[in-house]
Amino acid sequence: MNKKVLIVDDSATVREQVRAVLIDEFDVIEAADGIEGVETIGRLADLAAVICDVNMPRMDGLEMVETVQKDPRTAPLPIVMLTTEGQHELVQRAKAAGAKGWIVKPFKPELLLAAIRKLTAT
Amino acid sequence: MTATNKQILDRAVAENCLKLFADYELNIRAREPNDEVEAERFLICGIIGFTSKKMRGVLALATTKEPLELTNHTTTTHRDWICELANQLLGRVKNQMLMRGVEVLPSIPIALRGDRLSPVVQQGLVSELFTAEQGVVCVWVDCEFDDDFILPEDGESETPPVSEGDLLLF
Repeated sequence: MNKKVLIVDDSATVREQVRAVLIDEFDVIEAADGIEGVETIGRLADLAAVICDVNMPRMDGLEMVETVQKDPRTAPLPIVMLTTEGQHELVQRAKAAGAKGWIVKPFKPELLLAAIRKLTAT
Repeated sequence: MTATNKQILDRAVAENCLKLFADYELNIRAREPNDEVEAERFLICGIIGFTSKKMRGVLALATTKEPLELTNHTTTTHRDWICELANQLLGRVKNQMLMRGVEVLPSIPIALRGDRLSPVVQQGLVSELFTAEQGVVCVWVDCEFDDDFILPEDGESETPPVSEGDLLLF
């Protein structure tokens, strides 16, 4: 059975682009903002990794990472940020919050796949 | 003559628009004065607002349908894709502004559909038109600057932002 990866992004196009890259090796689940992301992470105990945008309505990606990290049940889940943002302060904030990676859009499919393989390797 | 804030911003937007579409494997070029000019039927416009301490405005990206279809290989809507392109374009501009020590905060992008979408022609509101193999792309910025504000020189920031396509693992 494939491992499950959650993509959290308010752009349906980006979610579909990510799905296309991962679908041969992973089961891809989608959420459209940080609140949906937190709910999905809480509901699915067997998620292997999360890919998360930063700028989203309702709850942004950094707030989502901070929320997930506060819960000991979900804190170990590896989260990679996938965003247009390249600002070091935001990268450092994500790292401090517990994110495991940062990719600036447009993403290179092979790099994204390699990162998710690495973070989900057991 | 020193470029004005608006000229610097317009140039950054235009340069990054070229790079953005190139990354999606669509070559666009600035329209030449001799190019046949006709009112383009822009299908849809992605709009994203931004604020900073001393500047605030909106970036608009309008295209005919062909550039959207040629750069989006998913099944999602033109509406969603133009929003994401506007978002990615502003992200690039934001990174350039960061190099000048200016932090720009983006809003959530939205799409506007209409017939013959174009900026109001007035002083200081200049659109940049690009021609693709098929179709046309247009981008413009409507931005206010505080009277006492001058965009710092490029290189004010010591730490360059992470570049498009780059991956950092912690």
